[in-house]
Amino acid sequence: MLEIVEVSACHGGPDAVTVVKDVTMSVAAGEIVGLVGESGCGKTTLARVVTGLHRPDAGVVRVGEVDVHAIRGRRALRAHRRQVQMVFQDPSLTLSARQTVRQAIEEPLRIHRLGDARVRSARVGELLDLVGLKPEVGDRRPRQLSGGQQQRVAIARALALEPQLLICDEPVTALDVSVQAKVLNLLCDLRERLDLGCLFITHDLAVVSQLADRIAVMQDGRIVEQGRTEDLTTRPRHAYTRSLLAAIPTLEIPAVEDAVRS
Amino acid sequence: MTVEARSPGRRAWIGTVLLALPLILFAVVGVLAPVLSPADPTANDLTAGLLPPSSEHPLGTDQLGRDQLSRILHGARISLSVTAAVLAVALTAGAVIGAAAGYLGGRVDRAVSRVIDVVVSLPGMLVTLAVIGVQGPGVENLILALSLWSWAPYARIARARVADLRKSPHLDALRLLGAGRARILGRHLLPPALAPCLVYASTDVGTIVLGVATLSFLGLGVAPPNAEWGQMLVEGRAFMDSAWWLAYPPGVAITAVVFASNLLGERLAAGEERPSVLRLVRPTRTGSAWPVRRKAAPSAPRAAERTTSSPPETVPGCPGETPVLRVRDLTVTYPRDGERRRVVAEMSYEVRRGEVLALVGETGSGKTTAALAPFGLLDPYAVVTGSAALANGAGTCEMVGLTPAERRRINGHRVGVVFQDSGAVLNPLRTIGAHVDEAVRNAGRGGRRPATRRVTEELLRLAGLPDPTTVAREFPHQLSGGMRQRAQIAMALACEPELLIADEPTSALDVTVQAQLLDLLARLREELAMSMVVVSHDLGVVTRLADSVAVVYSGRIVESGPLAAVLTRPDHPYTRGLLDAVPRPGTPPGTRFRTMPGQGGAGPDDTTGCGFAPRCPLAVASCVDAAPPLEALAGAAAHRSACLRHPGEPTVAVGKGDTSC
Repeated sequence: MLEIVEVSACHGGPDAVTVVKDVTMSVAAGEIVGLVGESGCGKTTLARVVTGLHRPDAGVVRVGEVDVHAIRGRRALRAHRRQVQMVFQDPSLTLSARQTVRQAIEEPLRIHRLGDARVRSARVGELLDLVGLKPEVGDRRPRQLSGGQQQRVAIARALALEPQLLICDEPVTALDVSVQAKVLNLLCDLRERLDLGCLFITHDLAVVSQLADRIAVMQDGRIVEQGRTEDLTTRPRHAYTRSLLAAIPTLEIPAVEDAVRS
Repeated sequence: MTVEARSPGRRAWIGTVLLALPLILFAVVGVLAPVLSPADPTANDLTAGLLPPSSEHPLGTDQLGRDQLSRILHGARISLSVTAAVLAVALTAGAVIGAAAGYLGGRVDRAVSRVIDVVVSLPGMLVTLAVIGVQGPGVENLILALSLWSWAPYARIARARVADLRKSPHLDALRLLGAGRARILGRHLLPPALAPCLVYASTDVGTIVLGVATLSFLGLGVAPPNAEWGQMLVEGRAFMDSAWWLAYPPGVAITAVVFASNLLGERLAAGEERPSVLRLVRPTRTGSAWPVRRKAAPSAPRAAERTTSSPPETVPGCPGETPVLRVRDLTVTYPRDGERRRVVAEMSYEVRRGEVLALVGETGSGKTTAALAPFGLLDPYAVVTGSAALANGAGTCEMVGLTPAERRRINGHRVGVVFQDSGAVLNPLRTIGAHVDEAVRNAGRGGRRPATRRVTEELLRLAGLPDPTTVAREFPHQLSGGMRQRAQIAMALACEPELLIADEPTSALDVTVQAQLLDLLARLREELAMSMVVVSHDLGVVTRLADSVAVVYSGRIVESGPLAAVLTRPDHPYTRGLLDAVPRPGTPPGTRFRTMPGQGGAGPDDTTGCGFAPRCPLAVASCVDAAPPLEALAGAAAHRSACLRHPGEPTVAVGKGDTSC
């Protein structure tokens, strides 16, 4: 579905800094791949390269056999947009405060001139239902919704064009732990129902260890380790992966301390 | 109070309409002047010169016998058409130029911005006089001259707004959805940029009306015999003593339009919250709230007496020890929809010496409010009642109801606070060293500058910043989020606090940085023998740090007790739900998280009885009768739960089908 081959990218300007270095990874259809790293490690830049918002200096990004950065022409680009969509970290920034939920979800359908008003309205209803929002939410504006609901709207909008690949950039970082769990469950369900490939970017290894099929760990722009989730979390090979695993907050209390406290 | 308090929204609305009334009148009269005027405004009747107001001429006649009322009405028409024409040109040109510059960015933006700066800094009237001097008087030249400098503020507003929006991920999202440039500019950038432009336009109406009148007054605007307000003033000036009705009506009309336009513009721009001239004229509506506070909050010495005289509740393990902070029946209310709604309801908690208490709950549960209320760190509209006794030597000091001056002797001296968003707390224009220096001086530990700086560097080192001399010279934006948070901790430690309040200290940070900061706080607690209140939404985070936990839901503590007891034997269904939501490494990928149905964020006044009952899988009819008290659990006096059911078995349903959040 998604193939990233030896991609390097830098941030513009005269003193350009290479933030993504020689990254090779892939996401198959119906697979969730976690990309884990600290802020500033280049994972968001990689997401922008994958979606075509940022041009890489070297390497190839292919989505379903099409080279993302070699697409020419409006029609081909639009066709590509329908394949790949993205969910951003902060839904309050990516949804327009001026649009109702219904208008926001309808926007991509209007852009691509899909269906007439009746068809679009029916599709918006389906999408609201898909992400678990009640129909009446459609008439509200983003600020009248909770963070979790906003993120559901953002996901519904991303799914309106029936993409086969979803790039999620820290989609639950801004949410409460209890709400985060619900959004993650939604992604799990969507993957099963729509056979969606998903690149899930986060700084939190704990989140992807329960969600992703495979995990890639990124440090300073390089993938330092990638593998199946069970292998990576139980037998980490790279020191950085081990330090990420050690940082995960756990609910277990050391037995000695427990004894002292009680 | 209820009648008065119920209608602030409507009253604000009425106020806006009242302010807009002169402008609406101006517009209506201007449009309908030919219909409304009783006579031709330019028709001379030398036999009826300088007649005082009468039924035939309600505003009298001038020296040429022209009907004054008709002239005023037609004057409005001229002012209105010039104003409308200038605004149309200025707004369109300004918004388009500004939006284009903001969207294109780069060199175009820099060039356009310089032009805007120059035009804005030009004295508008001089430009107008110069243009008219060259072109000659007349309505068209007037419009041209006024438009020439009025467009710049609109361009500046539109540019700033569009440049701001351009950086937001909103546009990235739209591009990914396939939206073209035209759609992004037309649908998503121009409309939000136009809104503040229109607000500015309402002020500009006054400026333009005044400008037209001034120019006509000087004989450079609308030429006689046309009726124009400034023109009428000039003509009336000669008869100030004999015929007052000539100069006053146009003067009143100009003043009314200009005042209404300025006040309306200010009101629209400031909304309800920001300071406004109107606030000086009319005292704030929420003033009625303060007597409640004075009545309810006992004066400091009396409260201190009360808390010290009552025997301290015995705490197992450390009999007779006074807690560092002992909060009893803390209630915080905010005005909402004309009523006072509780955000925190009769909450009680205490922090023992050297202990870390974690207040845990979802967004909107009231946990942060409960932690900050004792120290007066809330919005000024908040009303705090109850008691919060801070240990003070052998006795205690009551924190609720202190005056700001009394409070300053405690905050920053004996209590330190660390907030979630270090980017918002630190002043971007001051160095880290300057921030900490100030905290050191405030705590009375400074002295001469080098001495203060030595303390500052020591504090930064204590907060785990490896190179304090360099860091002290850096600005907040040069540091990472984790380092800024350490700098904030250094500021809080400047007063060697007995109690540190940390509000979501690690929530915006990466997991690894978060772990380091939690370790730092744990180390500091040991080294400095500090007590701490940590607020967080993540039970996993507080596990690293806390000794005891209070789980907050809907403005009340629903479960509290030693960390180990709450984590291993959670009693309240909500606590169980929170624990289930924490991801656990080692769970097979694809395993669904266990989630709670429904949505949080309700306040204690939104439900009767237990706040969690609407979401609780175990709720029974009696749950909604009254809020269940926080009761000690069998066999563990310190572990308390506010649940009628006291469930023993795992209860929260697997949330696969559940979709609300």
